Amino acid sequence: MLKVLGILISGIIVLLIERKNTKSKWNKKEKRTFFISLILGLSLTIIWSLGFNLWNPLDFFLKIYQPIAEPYISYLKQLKN
Amino acid sequence: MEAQKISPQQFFVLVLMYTLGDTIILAPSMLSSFTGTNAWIVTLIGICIGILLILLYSKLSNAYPKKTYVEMLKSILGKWMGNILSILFLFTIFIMTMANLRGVGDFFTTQVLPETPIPAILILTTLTALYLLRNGIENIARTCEIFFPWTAFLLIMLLLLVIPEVRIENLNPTFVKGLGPIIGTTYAYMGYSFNELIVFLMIIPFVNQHSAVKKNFLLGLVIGGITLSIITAFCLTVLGDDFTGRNLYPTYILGKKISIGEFLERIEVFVGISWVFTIFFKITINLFALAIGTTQVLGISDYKTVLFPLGYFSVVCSIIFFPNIVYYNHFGVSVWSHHSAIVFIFMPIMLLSILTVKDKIKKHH
Repeated sequence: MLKVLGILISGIIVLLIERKNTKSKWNKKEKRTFFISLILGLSLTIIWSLGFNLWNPLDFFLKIYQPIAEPYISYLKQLKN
Repeated sequence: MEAQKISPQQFFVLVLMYTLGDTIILAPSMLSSFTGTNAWIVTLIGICIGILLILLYSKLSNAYPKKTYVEMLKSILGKWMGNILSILFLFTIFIMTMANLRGVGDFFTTQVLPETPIPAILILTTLTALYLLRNGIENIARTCEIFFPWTAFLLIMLLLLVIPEVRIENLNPTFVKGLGPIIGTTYAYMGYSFNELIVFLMIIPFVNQHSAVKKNFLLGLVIGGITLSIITAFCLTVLGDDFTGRNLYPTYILGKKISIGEFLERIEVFVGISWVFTIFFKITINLFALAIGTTQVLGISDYKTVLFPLGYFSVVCSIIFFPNIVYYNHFGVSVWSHHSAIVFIFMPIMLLSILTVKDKIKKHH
C-alpha cells in the first residue's frame, strides 16, 4: 500500500511541475495527451508495484523470430564447438 | 518544433558518445564468445559497414533536411502507412532504450551496488535523464560536451595503465571454420552498435548547419568504432579470448587487471564512470527521439507533454521486458540483430528506393 501511495504522490509532484504548462501554455490536444498518458503510466506503475504478472511483449518477438533465430545461433556457435 | 539548435561539433560529440554507448562494455564479451580471437577483425569490418549505413542515412536526410525520420515516413508513404511504420520504428527504439536502462541497472546491481534494489537505480537514471530532457536538445549537447573529455581521459588512462599486461600473441586470428563465423558475428555486432545510429535522423533537423552533418556523422562513427576495436583488442590481449567471452563485462574486468608497482591497484571504477557517462547520453538521446517521434505521430508540437509519462513507462517496462540477464543476452543475439536489421537497415533502404522512383516519375512528366 505504501508503494501505491508513493507512486500517487510522485504523480502529484509531476502535476505540480507541469502546472504552468497545463494552465496556460498547452492547447487542448496537448493537455489531453498529457493527462491520458500520465494516467496510463501511473496505472501501469501501480499494477506492476502490486506484483501482478504482466505480459511481456518481447516474448511475442521471440516467437516471431524463432524460425530464424535458432539456425542463426547454431551457426554462430560452430567455431566454439 | 523547438527553436533550439546544436552545432556540428556538438553533433559529432553526441554521435561519438552514442556509438560508445553500451557497446563499449557489452560487445567484447558477445564478440569473443562467438568468434574467439577473431573478435577484433569483426569490429573492423563493422566500421566499414557502419560507414555505408551512415551514407544511407545522410542520403535520406539530404532529401528532407528539415524533417525528422517520422516526418519523412509520413511525407513519403502518406499519413496512414507512415504512422504505422513510425509506430514500429518508435517501439523498436523503445525496446532499445529499455535494454540500455536495464543494462545500467544490471551493471550496478551486479558489480557496484549489490544490495541496492534495481528500481532505485532505474528511477535515479530516468529522473536525471528527464531533467536534462526538459531543458531541450541544446542543453543535452552542451552537457555531453562537458562530460566527453572525462570519458576520453578515463578510457585513455585505462588503456595506458593496462599496457604492461598486454600479451600480443592473444590476437592471433584463427580461421579454422573459414570466414563464416566472422561474417555471422558482424551481423550481430551491427545490431549491438551501428544500426542504432538511425536515431540521429531524429536529431539532424536540430543541427544548425546541415552541410556539415555528413562529415561529423562519419567522423563520430569512425572514431567511436576504432575506440571499440581498440577496447576489444585490449580485452583479448589482456584477458584472453576465453575469459573475455565468459565474462559479462570484460572491459570492467580489464580495469581490475591494472597494477602499477603495488601502488595503483584496482581502478576499475574508472571504466564504470566513463561507461555510465556514455550510456547515460545514449539513454537521453533515445528518450529525446522517442518523445519527439511520439508527439509528431500524435500531431502535437510540444514534446514535453509525453516526457513524464515516458519516464514511468521506462522504469516499469525495463523490468518487465527483461526479467533477467540470461533473457537479456538471449534477446540481444537471437531477436535484436534481426529486428534491428529489418527496422534500421531494410526500412530506410526501401524508403530511399521509393523516393528515387518517385523522383524519376516526377522528372518523366
